[in-house]
Amino acid sequence: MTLLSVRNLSVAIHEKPIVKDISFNLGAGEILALTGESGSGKSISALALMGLLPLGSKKGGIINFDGNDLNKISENKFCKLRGKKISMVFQEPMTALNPLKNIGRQISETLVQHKACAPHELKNRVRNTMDRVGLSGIDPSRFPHQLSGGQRQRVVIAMAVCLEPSILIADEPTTALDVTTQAKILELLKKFAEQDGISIILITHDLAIVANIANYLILMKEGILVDQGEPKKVFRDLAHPYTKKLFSASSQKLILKENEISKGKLLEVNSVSVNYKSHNRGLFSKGTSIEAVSDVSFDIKRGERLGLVGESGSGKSTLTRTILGLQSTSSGYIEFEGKKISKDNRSFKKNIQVVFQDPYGSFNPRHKVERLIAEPFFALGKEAPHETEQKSIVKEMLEEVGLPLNSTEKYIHEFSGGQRQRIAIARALVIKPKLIIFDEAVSALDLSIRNQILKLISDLTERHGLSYLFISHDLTVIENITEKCLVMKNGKIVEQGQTKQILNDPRNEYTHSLIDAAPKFPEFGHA
Amino acid sequence: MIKYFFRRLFTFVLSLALASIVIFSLVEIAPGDPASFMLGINAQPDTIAALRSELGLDQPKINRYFDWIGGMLTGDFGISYTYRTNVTEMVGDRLWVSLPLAIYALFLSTVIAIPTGIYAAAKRGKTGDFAVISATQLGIAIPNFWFAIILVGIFAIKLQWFSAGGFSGWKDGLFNGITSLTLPAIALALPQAAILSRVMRSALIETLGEDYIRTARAKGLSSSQTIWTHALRNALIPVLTIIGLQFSFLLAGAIIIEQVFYLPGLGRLVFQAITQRDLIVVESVVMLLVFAVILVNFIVDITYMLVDPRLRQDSI
Repeated sequence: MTLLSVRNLSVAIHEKPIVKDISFNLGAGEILALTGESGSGKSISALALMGLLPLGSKKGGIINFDGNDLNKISENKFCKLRGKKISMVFQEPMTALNPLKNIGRQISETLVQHKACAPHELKNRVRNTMDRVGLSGIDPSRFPHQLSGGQRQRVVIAMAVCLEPSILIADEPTTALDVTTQAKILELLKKFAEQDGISIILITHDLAIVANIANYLILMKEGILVDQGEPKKVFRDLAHPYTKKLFSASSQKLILKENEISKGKLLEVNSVSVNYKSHNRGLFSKGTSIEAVSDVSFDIKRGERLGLVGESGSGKSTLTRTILGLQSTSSGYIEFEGKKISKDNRSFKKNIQVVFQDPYGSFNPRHKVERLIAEPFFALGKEAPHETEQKSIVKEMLEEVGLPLNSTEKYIHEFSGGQRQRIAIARALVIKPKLIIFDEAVSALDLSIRNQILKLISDLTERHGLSYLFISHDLTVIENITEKCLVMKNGKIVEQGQTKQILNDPRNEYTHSLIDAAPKFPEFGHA
Repeated sequence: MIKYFFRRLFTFVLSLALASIVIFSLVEIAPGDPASFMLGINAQPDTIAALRSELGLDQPKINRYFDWIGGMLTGDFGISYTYRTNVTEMVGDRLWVSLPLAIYALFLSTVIAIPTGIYAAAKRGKTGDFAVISATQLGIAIPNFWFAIILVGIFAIKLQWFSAGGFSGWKDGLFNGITSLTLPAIALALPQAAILSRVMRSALIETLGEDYIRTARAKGLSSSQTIWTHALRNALIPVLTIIGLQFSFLLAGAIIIEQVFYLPGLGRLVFQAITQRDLIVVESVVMLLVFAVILVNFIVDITYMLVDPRLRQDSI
């Protein structure tokens, strides 16, 4: 039975077409996946279904739901549908909740708004809904900041399902979460579809998730619907070239050429612990301290490519900051080429560079690319080459990372995410460091772009004999780009060794659960 | 929560102590000896010396500082050099004009600014918003004494609803007191209201762009409901900060308005005391104003805590 029928939906924001003429049907209890790379218009399509498009947008076409055209009904009428018949879960659990209201009140708001139950039943209804979404032990009087990301996402889901809507739209509901949490949230959504008959529109860029839980898939590219059908069939036939391209990108394996590995240690981390003082220091009490990194030891030899895997809060970032000398150790030491790294000794800076996750946030938007790439020269001080030579090195680097030479005169906002990451890599390479730290460097990128960047990294290290530490929460990335890896949990290294061996035959239970939780493609019987 | 409170309280006391040292030192450094000023240029050196010792000016600085602080704490502000009267009484009389005036003006400014700011934010980009923005631009640009003169021209001289100036005191009843403070309060409040209205508008617009507002809309709340139930409280923090600053300004910064309306307020008292080198009055009034400013900021800090649960947690 068709519950929702979308015909020729189009959306333009400030006259710019974002969604072009898409049509699809949604049946009861079905999970429909809306997928595509960033900028494909999938989130805007969802907002159009909710009638929550940003100011300055225009929509066309017909959205037929329950005998009404949602593109035509009044705002008043739409308010009565939202939350009751059609509800939505958003990507960012950290910001999707009002920080000033406790979660019980935020969940009950949906009930109160639609006058769903008598005031004295409210408490019970909230409790029941919270139990249903897996928040059984959680007190409804808690505030959002007292919950983890996964718990917050469950609260958002509770608000969306407490009135048993016909349709639940989930916009990248797990993208901001750890893999193990992601698996649990997806399980929950699946349960709503199967047991409660709620139809779900799941927006995701992750084809493996689509393959695992969706009944139907719609693939969008630049606002156009390019492919649709049952995931099994779509992924088996790969009829459309764009589907084929995305599919091969997500299952692509990179072959790392062997690097020459020297015997001497480039970086040595020796039983390093880092304690943070918690903020509740009183006037007279010292406050408790939190061990963010606990007795961590490893080393990187010249030419070695090491991965570091862990979920949020595992201490990865603290460890990175410590290696960069931005955070002092509580005990243990870190040596670079036999010399200690500390807050005061910064000469090692010439030989360690870093590439961060968010390439936009890590560049000054008011400087031209030439200056941005040349920035590490300042760290060299007097040893920096002459200005004309710097310019020619910058050009050389642009060529190396595959960007046109006229990029030097542009500003960072003129580039796409992938190009920005290339610029970040050029900046890291410009002073020919011996070690580069990639901190979630490809996590914010679309799959096809991610593969290009990984390929670039692998080519460059081969050409320059570089060593790197690659930090990621994503096991497939680590598998592709490193030979050895460390698995970190709660500040400790729980497993280390050859990447292939760890991924194929994990010894540690935690590593095992990480590998299990990561979404994988089922076999489609490709030749 | 208790820790947050005590930490604020500690900063409150510390700021007061530092302020008292700064004020005392500044007045000490300032040129001009009160004794020679009081006796005129033809005074004999030994007369000056006698007066200095009578006023206690020959004591070591540190003793005088603690005498001053001790006096303040027990409500004894000393004797004015020029008027030879009790400073506590002088300040007290003036405070009965300045404090009600400041509260009155702040009340008016808040009552005007918050609704207009909310209205503008709700109508952002539309005619209503444009009207509020233009009005506030005018309110900020026009100096308040000019407003004051216009108000006197219309309401005191033409319509004769209010008196043109002066303050008869609170003896003739609350209503008379409030009436004579109305025009000055309006003149003081308008520019402040214009600023506050803009802060309210921009804070609210920023909050309305937050993800949780979209979440609330997805629950079925209308856009005006989201403003009242979700956005307003979140937008209030910057507004509270500005209200705190405005109160401090209104208490001491009313000097020109006091002049226009011939009100015996604190601003005029300080001004006269400075020109007459009446250092004990200057010190006392300035200290009192500083106390008021720090107290208001302390109260604003505590209000933050009531508004924001994240501050109620002791780990922050």
